[in-house]
Amino acid sequence: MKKLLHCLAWSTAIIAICLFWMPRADAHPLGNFTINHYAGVQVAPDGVGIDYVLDMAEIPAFQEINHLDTNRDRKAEPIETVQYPNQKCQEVNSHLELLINKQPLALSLIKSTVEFPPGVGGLSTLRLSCNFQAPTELVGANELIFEDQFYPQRLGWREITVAANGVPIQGDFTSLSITNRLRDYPTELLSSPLDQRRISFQLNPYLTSSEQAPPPSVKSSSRLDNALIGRSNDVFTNLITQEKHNFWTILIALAIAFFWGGLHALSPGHGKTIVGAYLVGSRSNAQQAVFLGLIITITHTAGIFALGLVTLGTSQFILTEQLYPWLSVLSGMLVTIIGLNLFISRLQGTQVSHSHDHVHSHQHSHDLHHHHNHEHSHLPPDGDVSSMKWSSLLALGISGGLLPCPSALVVLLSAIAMGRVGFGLALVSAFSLGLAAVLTGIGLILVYAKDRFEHLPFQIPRIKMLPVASALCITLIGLGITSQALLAHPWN
Amino acid sequence: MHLRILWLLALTSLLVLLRPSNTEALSLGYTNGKFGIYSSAVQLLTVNSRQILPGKQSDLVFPDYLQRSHIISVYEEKVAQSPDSSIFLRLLADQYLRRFREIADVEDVLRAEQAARRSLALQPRHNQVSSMLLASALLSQHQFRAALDVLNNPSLNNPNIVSLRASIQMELGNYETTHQLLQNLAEEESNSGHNAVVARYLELTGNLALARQLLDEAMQEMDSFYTTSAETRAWFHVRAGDLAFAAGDFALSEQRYREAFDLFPRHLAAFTGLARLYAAQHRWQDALNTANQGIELMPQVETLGYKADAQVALGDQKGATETEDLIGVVAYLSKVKGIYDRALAVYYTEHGIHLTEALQIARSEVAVRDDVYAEDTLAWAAAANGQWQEAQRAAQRATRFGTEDALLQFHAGMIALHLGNREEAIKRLTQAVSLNPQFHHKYADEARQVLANLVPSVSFPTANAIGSSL
Repeated sequence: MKKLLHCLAWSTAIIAICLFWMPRADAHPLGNFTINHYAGVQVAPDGVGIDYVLDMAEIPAFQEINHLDTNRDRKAEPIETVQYPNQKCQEVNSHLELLINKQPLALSLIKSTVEFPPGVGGLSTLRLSCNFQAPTELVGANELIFEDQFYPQRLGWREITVAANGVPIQGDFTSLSITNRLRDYPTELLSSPLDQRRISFQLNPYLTSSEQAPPPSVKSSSRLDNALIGRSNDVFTNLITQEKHNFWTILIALAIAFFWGGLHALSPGHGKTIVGAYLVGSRSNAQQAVFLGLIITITHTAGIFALGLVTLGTSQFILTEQLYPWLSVLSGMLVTIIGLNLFISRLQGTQVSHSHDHVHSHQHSHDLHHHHNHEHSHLPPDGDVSSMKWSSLLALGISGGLLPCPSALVVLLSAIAMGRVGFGLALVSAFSLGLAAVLTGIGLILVYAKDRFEHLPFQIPRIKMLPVASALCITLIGLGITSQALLAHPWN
Repeated sequence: MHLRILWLLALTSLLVLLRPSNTEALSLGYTNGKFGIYSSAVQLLTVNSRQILPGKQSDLVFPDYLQRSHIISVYEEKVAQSPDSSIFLRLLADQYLRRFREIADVEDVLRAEQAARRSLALQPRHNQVSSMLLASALLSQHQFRAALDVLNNPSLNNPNIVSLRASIQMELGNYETTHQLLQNLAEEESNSGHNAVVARYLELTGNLALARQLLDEAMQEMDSFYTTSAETRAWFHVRAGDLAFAAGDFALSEQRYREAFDLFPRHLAAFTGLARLYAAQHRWQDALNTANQGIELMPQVETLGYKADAQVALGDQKGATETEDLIGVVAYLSKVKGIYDRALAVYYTEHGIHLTEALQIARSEVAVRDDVYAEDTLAWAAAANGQWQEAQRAAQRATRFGTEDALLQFHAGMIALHLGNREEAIKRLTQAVSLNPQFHHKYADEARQVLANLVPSVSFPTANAIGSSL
């Protein structure tokens, strides 16, 4: 942990040192160099209107005025700016994109004006207003996309609002301008400027469905396009953000993580059924149950670390959420293959049970501690059993633990982000221990339950097919996981 | 057998955990651990400074800047949800500073300052990173004394803070203090950040060759970590380009600037450095194009100056006038805000305009940042205003550590010449053209001309001579 804090400080030091060669922050004119954009999209049954405002700070305004200033008096006089609004708005128009049902729609300039409000030190700023109109019938339309590509490199506020009159719309947008159309900028310091360059929303959202028309949905504009939205945000993930650290809080946090890991093991899709099906169907013992539980836990923990690193390493290329479906498919296919393998071998085992009976009986006749050789005659040949048991146990364990829990991944990534890697690892480890305890417990219960079941004074004839049925069950689970992953995700 | 497998899995997990130990990433909360290039760092420390990085290695760029605003929005939301979380405030301050370096939005520095102050208010003790972030935000506003005050707390004594303190002392011109601080840094604490600071010290105190070697090593070390922020890596290349320029190695300098663009395409300092390089070589069209690209991102006075010079050289007098007008607006805005920008004083002095204002700016700059460059600016501005005694004193202070910057030596030589100190003038001017035969698009030729008049029997290195010898 100390080492990690050292790294954090080291990184900050490098940033700080590099800052010396940056231009003086308040010496450079960037605050006076911004170009701010506002676009109000107005949807009506007969077309789309765009209320566009461009607000240039002192320096870009000066550069614009310099081009207009024919008499070189450093002022933009009305006679010099007669053509400017129209020309500039046409330039704006060439950088706007309006798509209805993915088809581009041409915008026509209806009105344009320019003002030169006073700015810092009596220098002028520039405020250009353009009204565009795109007449079109929107009755059958179902999607509108608008994009502002003007001055893409320049800093500044970029805001888009949407208002509708007579056309139902649905999407993530706001109808009210936060800045009153670039006249009143927010002053809250710990808040970055808006940077909305593109917006898309549904038109007539209920025309294509039989559902009753909902009221127009106008969500407030969320400035948080947060990758963590939709990810787990539970008790466990919140542990990493706790502020006060002392022995007791850490201990309690670890206990909660352990408990949460146990609960996690009980949630669907974490190998309980597979563990159960395998252990019930095989000549399993307590050691193997523990081994299987441990393998799942280790794979799960390693998977969290590996996926965490992959996430960090590939986050510019791929979202973590996109990895999950593929891992689900991989996990499902592994389980299917193992299940099929078991199914085929056990089925063969039941067909040649006589010879196995003999071999097995012979073997165990020397084993004074083994009293169940008659029952084991239902299993595949011994050599096959011993070689397959451990490898298949391992493969089954890996497949069960392959899909890491998103909560644990979030904890790990948050820990890295906060420089609390040591604490994060401890939490993930406690979480995994909880997972191990529950899975192993389930395995042991099943093994002992089977043992008791086999000691019952009566025989159920179909029990001979139990290993085959359990293998079939594993196969079906694997197929289920695979098909669910294939059907439920975006590549479809 | 299963025990072996368990061991294997445990060891694999351990390796996975231990591998990403470079970790600037850990403070980013957003970067990665790229495997396979970690072990090369130590080897690279011994690589010759001129050795060029393998293409493939420099191709590996982690474009963290593409996600910067997104990361910031996440942390802003977190801070809004947990306003009393010193950790989130600290992380937010860090990200604001990173974005400032990437896009130079002045508001980001103010935001970083605010976030760091709030973090420190919530957790005044054991919060060294926030102290460093606050100091960084202050020094990027050139509030050097205030930044130093933040770090002067005796409890803040880790090597990174000492290194940062040394940097600030350098900017204030306290080179003796800087030397003491750097000496106190233990050898084992050496890293790219410290090496960059030491390289700067060596550069300013007459050890350009050693500074270049150290900086190249630091640059290569930074390059060896894929996890290093793209802009930070680019910055090391820009600095290496600056030092190569100072040494007259223009081919390498240009290469370093180009590498910086490959790493981070909108690096302002790289645009300025490259424009200066092209101007010195009289490659005016290239200088104009490069300056224009930089100005499009941010109109800095120095870059605008190279643009105006290029326009004049290319015969575009009207364009040059417009550029000068823009410099005037920038100057006016600075004046309105009570800010002194020494680049403006340099431009005015070199172009013989607004000389009184240039001298005023230079004097004000010395009052707040008395480093060798501030003294040099004062020397040249005072000379342009006929204040020769003040010019001489400032030139002596600017060159007192033997800084191997040809322009400083040229200024000192010309001032000595005017004051009748012929030997000193010959010595300084000879050093200037020897250090870098093309140190300035105008003054390099002037230095040679003056030397030719002073010592007709000796020939001095010219750009062509140097070029053909390479």
